Amino acid sequence: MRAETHERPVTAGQLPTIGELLDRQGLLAYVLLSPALLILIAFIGWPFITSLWLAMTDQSVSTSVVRFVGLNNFTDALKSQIFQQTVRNTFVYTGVTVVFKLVFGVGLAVLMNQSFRLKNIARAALLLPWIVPTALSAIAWLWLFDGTFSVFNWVIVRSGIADRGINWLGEGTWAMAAIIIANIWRGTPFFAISILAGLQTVDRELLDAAAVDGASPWQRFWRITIPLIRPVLLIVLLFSTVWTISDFQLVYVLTRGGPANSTHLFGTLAYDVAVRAGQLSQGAAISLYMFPVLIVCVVALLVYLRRSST
Amino acid sequence: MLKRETTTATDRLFSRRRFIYYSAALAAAVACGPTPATAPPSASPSGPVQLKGTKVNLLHWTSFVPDEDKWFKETLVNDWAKPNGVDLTVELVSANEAQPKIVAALQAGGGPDVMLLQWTWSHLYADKLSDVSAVAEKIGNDGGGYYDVMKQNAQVQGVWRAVPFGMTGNALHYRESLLKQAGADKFPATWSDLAKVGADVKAKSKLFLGQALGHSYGDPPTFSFPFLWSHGGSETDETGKKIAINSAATKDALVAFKELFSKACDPQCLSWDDSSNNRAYAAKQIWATLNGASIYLSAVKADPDLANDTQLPLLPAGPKGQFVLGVPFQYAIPKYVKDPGPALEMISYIMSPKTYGPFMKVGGKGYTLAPYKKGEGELWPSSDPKFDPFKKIGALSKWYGYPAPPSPAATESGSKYIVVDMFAKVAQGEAPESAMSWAEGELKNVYKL
Repeated sequence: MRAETHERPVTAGQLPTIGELLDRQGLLAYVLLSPALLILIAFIGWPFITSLWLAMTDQSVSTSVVRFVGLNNFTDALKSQIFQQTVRNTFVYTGVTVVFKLVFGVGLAVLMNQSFRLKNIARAALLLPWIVPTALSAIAWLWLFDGTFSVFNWVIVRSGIADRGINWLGEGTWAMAAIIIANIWRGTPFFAISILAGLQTVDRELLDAAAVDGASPWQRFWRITIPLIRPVLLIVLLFSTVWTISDFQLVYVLTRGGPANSTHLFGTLAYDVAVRAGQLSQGAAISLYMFPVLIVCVVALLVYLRRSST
Repeated sequence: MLKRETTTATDRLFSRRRFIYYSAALAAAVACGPTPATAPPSASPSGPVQLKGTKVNLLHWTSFVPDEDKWFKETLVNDWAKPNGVDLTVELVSANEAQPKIVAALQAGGGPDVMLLQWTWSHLYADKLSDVSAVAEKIGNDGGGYYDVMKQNAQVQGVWRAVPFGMTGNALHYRESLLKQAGADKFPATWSDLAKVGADVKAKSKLFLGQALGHSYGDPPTFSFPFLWSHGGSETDETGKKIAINSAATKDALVAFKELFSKACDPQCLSWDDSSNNRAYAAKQIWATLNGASIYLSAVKADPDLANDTQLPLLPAGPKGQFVLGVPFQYAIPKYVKDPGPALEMISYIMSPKTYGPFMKVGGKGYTLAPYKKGEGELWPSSDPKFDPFKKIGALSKWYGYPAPPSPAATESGSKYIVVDMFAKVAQGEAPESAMSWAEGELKNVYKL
């Protein structure tokens, strides 16, 4: 193909054409980024700023005139025992589920990294809990935990383990256990598939060399595999923590925050206060309490990643 | 002089510069495309209502009695909308999901033309609802006068912000054969007697009294509030200016409830919503439960033996009397509706005794009770004597915030299930004093007192 050259002398004082402006790498980068930036500003930045403003007003569904109230909504939330319980619930829920999802995810990933028949089908099936819409799978769990019709309870009673079934959703501790179980079931495939991708990048030669040097399978896994996939683990942990802290659908379908608020998370309480009770500003303040926690998680992880990469 | 880079013809055709040109051109074309057709101007609210060619969107709840839904989807459309040339859209949502839709519409300033509110929501959204006093007054007069509870729910500071639609009357459903098997000849008239009889039935039949106490719109509050009121307890005093929940009366209520729950109920009810007890009763897993008549009406069709064995008394009385909290509904027209004329016409049609009477018979057969007194008289829909206790519900029923007038704070408290959770905490084993103190703290936050 014949190459052509485009040359136009640019003299001092003459404005550059749009084409010439777009040829400047720095400017072009911003132009190309601008659609994504606009979407981020419109759908994330603007709602976030609005919720910050909302949280510092007294706006409710019933108010026509909105007043600035500073941090009152934040301090009022702290006084509420329901909010205090919600904070505890959120940390317990997030902490327990993330640890279990990590352990099960690593185990499943190691398993799926082996060679066996129907490996690809097994890998695809592994993703099912992750790809089924949460609300749909939560309804299935609702039936599994139902006080009257629970399959788990049927098995417990029929097998003679206990005279009566567990009050899964009607007792605070069991209700928390129930939403934790459902969350672990749903979230483990994400860990497993992501970690599996990390495992496949581990150089077999390193593991073989360690084996020749006498390292046991456990030592090879702990001293070679885990350090090599640590960045993947950390990213997966970060995403899962963010998603779990802000969880809503699963809890809303299974317990609506009950019984007696023992399973309320930030998301469900903010929804109840803002939408059901109509106190939009208070709901915004409650949901914004998630923000500092998430920021700490993200910053800590990014600092760690930057250090490890240098 | 600047040196330009070398490019090929293909490069120029698909260059990044051209990509941006094409993108901008496409965006401009979309932006400058044909504008959507605007709706024809509607009739002036002050003039005669022009129905032909108008549109009405009705947001209604999904009834537990399917025939009621059918009435709105078919009868209302065929008998009113089509003959008048109105394009009527009926959107049915479950009772628990109605509030998010309503809040979103009111905040966005657009959505349904008519929305069915529950409880005292008119007080919570009053500033954003149209004044419907003229229509509400006329319907009330035609119907022989509203029950006090209907007026309290829909009228805010003397202005009707909604037109009362009706009430789901709640009554205990119980199996007479199991009661007799346990040695009782009639259903207990007081809560303390119910605790004793409930314990006997539980011992004999291994079935419990299934009372929902989860976060759900109907059965949990319609049990908890009457129980509290019948022992003299309440959220506030009569003025609504002082939190009164931390009282000897409330403690009496909670102690009595603890007795009832431990002897006659079962902890699994703490997670139940409005449909859980329906399923459990139909599956004969419980012997009694508080509910709208939907359980009985379903059994009439699906399990006549169960229906024959079922009786429907109102809630028992406490030391301070017998109370009922029916689930009330009202039609509201948001202020964002520019021409409320067609919506008001539709509400007038539905609520006129001439239409509402057949609706009660064909639709709910007593499930939805009329908001006005003709409902218990000439319009009474059922020849089944089991429904007779329902005739008292309109007069007996109270509202969120009772004995104070309804208020946004009382509505907010109801939406947050504070009283329901106070009972649920006691059912979970918490001391009545502790649950009461918790409720007091939460109510102070809500009422700002």
